[in-house]
Amino acid sequence: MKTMSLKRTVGLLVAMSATWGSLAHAGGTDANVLISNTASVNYTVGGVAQTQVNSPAAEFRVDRKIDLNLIETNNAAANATPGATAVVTTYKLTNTGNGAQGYTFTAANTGGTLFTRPDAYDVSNLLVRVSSAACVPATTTTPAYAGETATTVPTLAKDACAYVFILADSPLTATNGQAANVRLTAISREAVSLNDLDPLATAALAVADDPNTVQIVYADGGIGQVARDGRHFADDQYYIVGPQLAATKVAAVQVDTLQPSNPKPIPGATVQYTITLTNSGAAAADAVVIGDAIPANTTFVCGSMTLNGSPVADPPNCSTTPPANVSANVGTMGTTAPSNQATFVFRVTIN
Amino acid sequence: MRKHKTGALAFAVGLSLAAAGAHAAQAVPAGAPCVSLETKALQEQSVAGADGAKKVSLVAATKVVPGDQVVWQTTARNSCASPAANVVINQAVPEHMVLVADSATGADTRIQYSLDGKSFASLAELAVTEADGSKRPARADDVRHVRWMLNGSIGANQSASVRYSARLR
Repeated sequence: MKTMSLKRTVGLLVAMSATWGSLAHAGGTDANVLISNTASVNYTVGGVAQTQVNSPAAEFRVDRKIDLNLIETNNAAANATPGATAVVTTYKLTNTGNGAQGYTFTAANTGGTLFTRPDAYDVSNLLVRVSSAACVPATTTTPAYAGETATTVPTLAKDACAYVFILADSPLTATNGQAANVRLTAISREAVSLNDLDPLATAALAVADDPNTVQIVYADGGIGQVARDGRHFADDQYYIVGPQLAATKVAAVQVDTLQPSNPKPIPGATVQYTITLTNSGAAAADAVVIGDAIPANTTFVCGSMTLNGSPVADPPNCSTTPPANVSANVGTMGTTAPSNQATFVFRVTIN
Repeated sequence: MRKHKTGALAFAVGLSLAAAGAHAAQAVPAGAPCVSLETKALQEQSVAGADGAKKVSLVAATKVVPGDQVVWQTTARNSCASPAANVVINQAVPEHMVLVADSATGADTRIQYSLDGKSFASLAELAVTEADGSKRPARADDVRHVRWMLNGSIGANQSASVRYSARLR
């Protein structure tokens, strides 16, 4: 047994290991690679060593593994406002199979709860767009939608990835704090042609085996996913982060010439209206205009309007043509005090 | 002293030819060695039986994708009238595949492993030198060759099977 040199360390192996390590892609060995193996035997007959015998090679071809992974990229909803159009949610598709594949996509509203928010409204005009930006598997930096028009991924190499967007509109009826869940589904196709994969292969391992041809084996699956259908979906969410304005109006009789100490709303009395507008939403409101109609049987008191204590210019020809409506430009209303509140004051006299 | 590599075989071949001639009645072609070797690539297939219980059987490996395991089974058959002794079966782990730990089996055999196909030892006795010069014990996925040494001999018209599992990268 002199060949048994124990603890022998093989320098060559280091290089070999390193090479193997670098070849160990997630997608694995390429489809159509021939795996071949032979054995040899040494023996003696009657104490005499015989010629080494080698077995014929046993071999098979590596089949086409269809596997893919689709994720929502930022683990957070995309903020939208009521009526916002073409708001983008971003997804990352990775080919985890062992050969190049093409992909098509579908996008649809879906229900359920995501990011602890229940689905409360539907988005419309869903469009799928494929990013033209390079995708580096190890990075999480996602590109922005840049007006791309591609709707499919014709070819994605083994272990390669691509970014995909859904563009969708939120209705004006959506309100602050509501969420709309959407689902992007990637469908594995033949590369380039985007033809359907062999439909028989959906029967998974039921297809007749052939060691000499490359067959399709679906290996996809995951929590909530349909196993072995060549598809993978990911959900994302549109979340309404909008302003939410509420107004209160208070009337106070101010001047009553007959009963100065305890004014009553009688003809000739002056009434002051105070309208308070508050934004309790999660986003600022722009171009806010606060206004009111002058009540019937009253006349606007010229020069009485103030906004947050500052005088507001009268409507044109106020004294000769009493206005039917008054208004003031608030501009942008923020989400925190004091910019989230506006106080509009005007006076009328009772005719 | 076991000869497991070809060496000084002119003498052995001559004897082998003579032996084959003596056993022509056993349908061994003239000049053929006593032991023939066959390797098969097999896969485990789980089939639900009539009683619902799953039965695992080995079938020819035909549908293999990365991550799958293949059982490489080698059968040595002795077609001579004399027993074949000191039988040593060698098999490489094919490229793109890695040995599954503790998967090599063979009845009444001693199993050894090699990282380079030259020096064989038990896995615990093999070490790998890392790029930084440090050494670590070899793992199953470092193994590139498996060797089975049969303790007994293969009798006339008898066979012996050994196998190991490897996973496709």
